[in-house]
Amino acid sequence: MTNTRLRPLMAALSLALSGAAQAAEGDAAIWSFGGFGTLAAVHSSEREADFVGSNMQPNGAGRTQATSFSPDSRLGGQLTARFTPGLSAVLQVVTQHQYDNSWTPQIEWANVQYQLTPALRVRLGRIVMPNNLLSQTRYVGYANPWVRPPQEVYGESTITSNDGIDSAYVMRFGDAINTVSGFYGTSTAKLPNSSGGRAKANPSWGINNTLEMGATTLRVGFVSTKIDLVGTQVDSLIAGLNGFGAAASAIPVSSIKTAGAQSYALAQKYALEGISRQTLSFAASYDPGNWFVMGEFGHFVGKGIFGSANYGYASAGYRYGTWTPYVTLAQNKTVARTETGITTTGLPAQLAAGARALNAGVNTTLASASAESQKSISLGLRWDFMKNAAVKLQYDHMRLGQNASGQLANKSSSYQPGGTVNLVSVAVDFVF
Amino acid sequence: MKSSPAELALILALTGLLCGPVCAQVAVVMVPGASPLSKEQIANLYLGRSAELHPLDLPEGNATRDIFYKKATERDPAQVKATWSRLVFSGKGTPPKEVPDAAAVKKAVAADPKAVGYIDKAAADASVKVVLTLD
Repeated sequence: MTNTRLRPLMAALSLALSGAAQAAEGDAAIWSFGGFGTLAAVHSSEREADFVGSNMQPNGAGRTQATSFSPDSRLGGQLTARFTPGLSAVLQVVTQHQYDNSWTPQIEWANVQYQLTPALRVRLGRIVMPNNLLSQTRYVGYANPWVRPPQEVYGESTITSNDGIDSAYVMRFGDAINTVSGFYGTSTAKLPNSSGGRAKANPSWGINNTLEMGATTLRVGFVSTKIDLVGTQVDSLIAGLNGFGAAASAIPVSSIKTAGAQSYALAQKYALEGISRQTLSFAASYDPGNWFVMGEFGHFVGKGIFGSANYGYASAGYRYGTWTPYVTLAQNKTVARTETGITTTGLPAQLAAGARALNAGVNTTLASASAESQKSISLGLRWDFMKNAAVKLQYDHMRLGQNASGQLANKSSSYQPGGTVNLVSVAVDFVF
Repeated sequence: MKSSPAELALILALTGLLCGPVCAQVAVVMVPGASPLSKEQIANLYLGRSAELHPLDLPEGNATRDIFYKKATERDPAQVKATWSRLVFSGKGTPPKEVPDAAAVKKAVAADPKAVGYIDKAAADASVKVVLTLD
């Protein structure tokens, strides 16, 4: 964790503590603790790559182990303190399979909330990143119908919290409740299989509106992020493009000068600082009690090495007492891109070879950055066998796009993109 | 057709058997003088969509509680639990305060003008106002 990531946290905590001190003069703070967890085994039919719970995990089920507990298992604890009726604080710590293959607990949330008026609240500190309908309970398996939220959609947003501020304004119209909220913050995610590689969201901001009318929930959201990629393998490609640009621009031959300018332009186009990502998403859910149907759809516009994508899912389930069979259809269509790159005709042999290597590097990077296309059908059964625990059995059939590897990670050299992957998962979710 | 007393007794007994707890009436109660509430208002309150009043719950596993939630929100105990875990772990709310029995509900309701509780209709008396009957 960097210092920039810690500073707002410390501010939030000191505010929480000063709030606690004020409250202590009056009546005592009310503390409450709750926890949630999932113990899940997933078996994958793919032997040359791993199915992972998020692309921040270095390995998972398939290649490393045919059956693995690491993609979906986790344990979380949440401490809430209410200092005054308007001032509260929350700390949520989650342990799950990390980028460095450890299970080190992470502070997912640490924020103070102040209710300015009955309709308006502000939170300061580490706060959930509101990408999707279920972002707030993404890790609480018991609260969700499935073993995991559909990866075609939730895999697009692997940064789950922000250090910053958010605010929500609640309006009521009869029995309808409308909440409009906005946020601003920064975050850093460490990348797996790299030496110190990380993605810094600096900043992220967004606005979303949720309308609840009885059993119906409608949501529309917009999130804009500027990402810095630090310490990844793409660094050497950008350095190579800049180096080629400098060398070729210095030679007073027009074809070589042009190649130099093209190389500079590529280095600039795929620069790893401030890469823009914007997402517009829509969600709807209807849950009258005995059954539910829900769906989310997103349009993602990525600049630089991030490919644009459309994605969505639709899911439905029926509750027979404590048994809930469900079905989900999901799809992610990421736009595949190629670059013609540096023009090699008219270049001396040595420079042409260098240019071809850089062109290949650019296209390999683009291919791997836009290989997420996949669709899947999932069939599952949830059984609420205890008052605070449920067991789920889920089958997923995933069809990967052409030249795509979907959300698979840790691919072997003999891995073939495309094709299908089947998963069987058993999960026990609990809250306490 | 005229039924004999024996037939009537049989019909009553069967009705009782078939109906059982599902037919039990649940009274939603507040302090005397409170205005009636709609089923939608009660569902919003007990599913965390509204925080204007102070809801009270009977303990988990209590038969009146299960009937109340089924009738007011169409949800089984497991679904209610899942709904509340969604709200609790997203920091959006805290579940209704639990009290041990109908007598405690009536006592709490009488003491707080914003408190709302539910009890078996048969347990309702003058200390509380029935703001909604679920049957």
